[in-house]
Amino acid sequence: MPIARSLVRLSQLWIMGRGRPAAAAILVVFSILQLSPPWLSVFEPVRLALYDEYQKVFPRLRETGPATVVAIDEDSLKELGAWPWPRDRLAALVKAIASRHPAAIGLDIYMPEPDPTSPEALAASLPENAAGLKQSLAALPAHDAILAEMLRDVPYVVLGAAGVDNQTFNTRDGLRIIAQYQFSGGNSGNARNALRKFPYVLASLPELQAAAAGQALLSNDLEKGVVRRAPLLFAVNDALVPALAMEMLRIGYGEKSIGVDMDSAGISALTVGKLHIPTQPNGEIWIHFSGHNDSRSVSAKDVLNGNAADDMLAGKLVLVGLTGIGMMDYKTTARGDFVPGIDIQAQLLESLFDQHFLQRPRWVVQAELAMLTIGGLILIWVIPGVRPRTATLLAAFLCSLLFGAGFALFYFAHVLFDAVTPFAGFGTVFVSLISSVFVKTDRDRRAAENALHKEREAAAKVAGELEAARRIQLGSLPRARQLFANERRFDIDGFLEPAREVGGDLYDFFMLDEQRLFFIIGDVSGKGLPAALFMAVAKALAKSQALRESGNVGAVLRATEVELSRENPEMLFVTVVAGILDVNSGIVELSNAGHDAPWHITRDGHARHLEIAGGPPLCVLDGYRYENTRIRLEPGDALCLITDGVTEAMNETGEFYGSERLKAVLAAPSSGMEALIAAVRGDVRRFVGNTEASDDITLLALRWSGPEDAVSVR
Amino acid sequence: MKVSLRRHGNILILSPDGRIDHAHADAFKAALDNHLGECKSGDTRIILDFADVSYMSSVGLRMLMLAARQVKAQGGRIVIAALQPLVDEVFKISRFNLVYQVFHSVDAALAELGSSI
Repeated sequence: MPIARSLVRLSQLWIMGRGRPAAAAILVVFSILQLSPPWLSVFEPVRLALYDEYQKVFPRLRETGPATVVAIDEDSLKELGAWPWPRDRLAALVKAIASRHPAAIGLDIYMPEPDPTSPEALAASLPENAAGLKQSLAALPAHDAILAEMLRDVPYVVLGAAGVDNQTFNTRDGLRIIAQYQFSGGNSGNARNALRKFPYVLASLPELQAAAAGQALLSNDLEKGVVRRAPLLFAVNDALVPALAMEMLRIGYGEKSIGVDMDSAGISALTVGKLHIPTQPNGEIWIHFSGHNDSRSVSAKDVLNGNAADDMLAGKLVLVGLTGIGMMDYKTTARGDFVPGIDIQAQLLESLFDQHFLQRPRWVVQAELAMLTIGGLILIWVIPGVRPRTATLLAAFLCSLLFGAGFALFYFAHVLFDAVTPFAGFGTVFVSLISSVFVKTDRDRRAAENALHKEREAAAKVAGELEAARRIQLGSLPRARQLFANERRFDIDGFLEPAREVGGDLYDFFMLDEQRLFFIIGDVSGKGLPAALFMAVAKALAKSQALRESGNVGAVLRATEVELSRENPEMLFVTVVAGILDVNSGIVELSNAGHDAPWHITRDGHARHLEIAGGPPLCVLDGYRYENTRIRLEPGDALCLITDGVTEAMNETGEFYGSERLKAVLAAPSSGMEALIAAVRGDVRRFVGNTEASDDITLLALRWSGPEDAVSVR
Repeated sequence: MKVSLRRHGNILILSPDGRIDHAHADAFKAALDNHLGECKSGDTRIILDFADVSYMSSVGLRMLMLAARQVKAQGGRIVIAALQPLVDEVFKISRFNLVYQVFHSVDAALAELGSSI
């Protein structure tokens, strides 16, 4: 599964170094995005939306109001006739405006063809039999001539034209350029390369062009239907053509030329009269729109009727354009207002005249990059070491700082700050860091679960093995009921309860021959499996030595000790008491290797310790010669052998069970050895209560019934 | 477990304090092991001063057995002194008086060892 493997490798890369290297790589990618040109950036639409938002929050405030729109509006059309108007009426309108002494007039009206309502055009359309009428019409001046005459009389009218990319029947490939240019930092060729270029124009009749004081382009490329930027200078083939606003300002200031400042990137600024206008390299400026405002507009009808207020026109930059033919020339501004195109021209004029333009200077790009880098590094540094809550607060703080800076720069410096790319960078770095922490946590949790599972498995396995060992150990102990089912001469029983799964205690008993019973109890030093194994070996060796040695019990212990010591790498030792009972005579030979002394219980209920010969535990002193003690039991007498797990059983207060309590139970009458052991066991259990046993408990009890009067099973 | 130490000439007296059971056996063994090496023929002799040992389990007995074996192999001498009643009983039951020479007091042990240089 190569995909799964590469996914695993990817996630390892991701969580490496607490997610920091991955986040740093993301930061680098975003730095590159920040530096890439707008058309390459995936964030451009969001970026523009943010710029629009700046304008909505902080619209431009109108200051001097240098521009007035003479609107050919619904009222004008209603009163004076449908569009297009005869051009003599346009001439009348220009005259009416000029009578109020404006600074310049700009016509946002294209006139590429002769006026079809002009008298000579009407004459040409009349039938041949209307010769008289034709003649009369021909005697009248042509409308275009009237308008041209008016343009010559009013030497501050700018004709608008439109740049187009495709040739049509009424386009031209050039127009009369009136403005002159002064270049610095480059030449017209450099400027042309930087500017928006058009191969064709929809320009006015040559007759009108020749008469006009200025010629300008009115084109605007929309960005998804929205006007945000306006070019101030265009290229039409080899010629540079100013935008309407620039040409009107030039004429308004009475200048012949426009200054064009250039640097390596393209156009850096345009100068006209007193105005110095920094531009984008392609000669555009970002328009800072004001809110909707009717006060900059006056109806053409009112101007023609002489009803327009004087201050609306005197000394103003007057734009003449249509607003009344449906919504043909309506556009959406960056603020989201739906306004006539002529209104945008007026706003542009206001912006330029009040020196209030939006800019994206080169330093702002560097500031954005610095913000992205510093903020990103702070996130990478801090987030892996803090709690998610703190991390989120920090990220939120950085983002608000970012947008705060954006709005502050817009408000105070009219600078368009791109907060979007750093924001997206912060967001991605943040998500990457946080999720790598999550992935790491998840992985650790899984690992922990896995380890726990394995531990449990191993524990279960060991427990299973220990359980088996316990069964084997307890199963190796003799069962008196089966072994001596019909035995009447003696009664014997044993009991062993390991403190843990397996123990280090032992007991054993078996017949050496027809009349001799061998019995042994022992306690290996140490606990757990090592002790259990040693116990098994000791028990087996003792049995084999007992069966082999025909001599006394001391000799059995000595032989066992020698064999046991031969292979005892753990240096364990075992304490034992062993004995051989002659079941016919009641004579017992006993030997003690460092073990608790056996108890002797008389038939009339007296229990006492037996002091018997012996030596240290097996495997303490090499080759020690163990002695025996011989005693004679009366019929009904019993012996009880224990390990110290009985007397040292502890209750909750840390008190030992002790010899006295044991003695009392031993002395009490009992029906048999099984019952005696059960009684001791029960008493110890009651004493201990819920306290955990710390040592194995082992008991061996033997009662001699008396000389043979019963039949041996064997 | 704390095991304090003092010297009388070339006789080293080790005095463990407390119970020598499962929980403390390793500390007791570590203290012993530090000095058993020097306990050899013609060198240091050791007295284990058990005056402050209140209890000893079979684990402690095993430590004592191991110590005795090592010292015996090195030809050195190690004895035990001042057993409290409970420990004395353990010694008696397990016949460790066959493994260690037991003195009723440190002074008695010192007198014996000092005289047997």
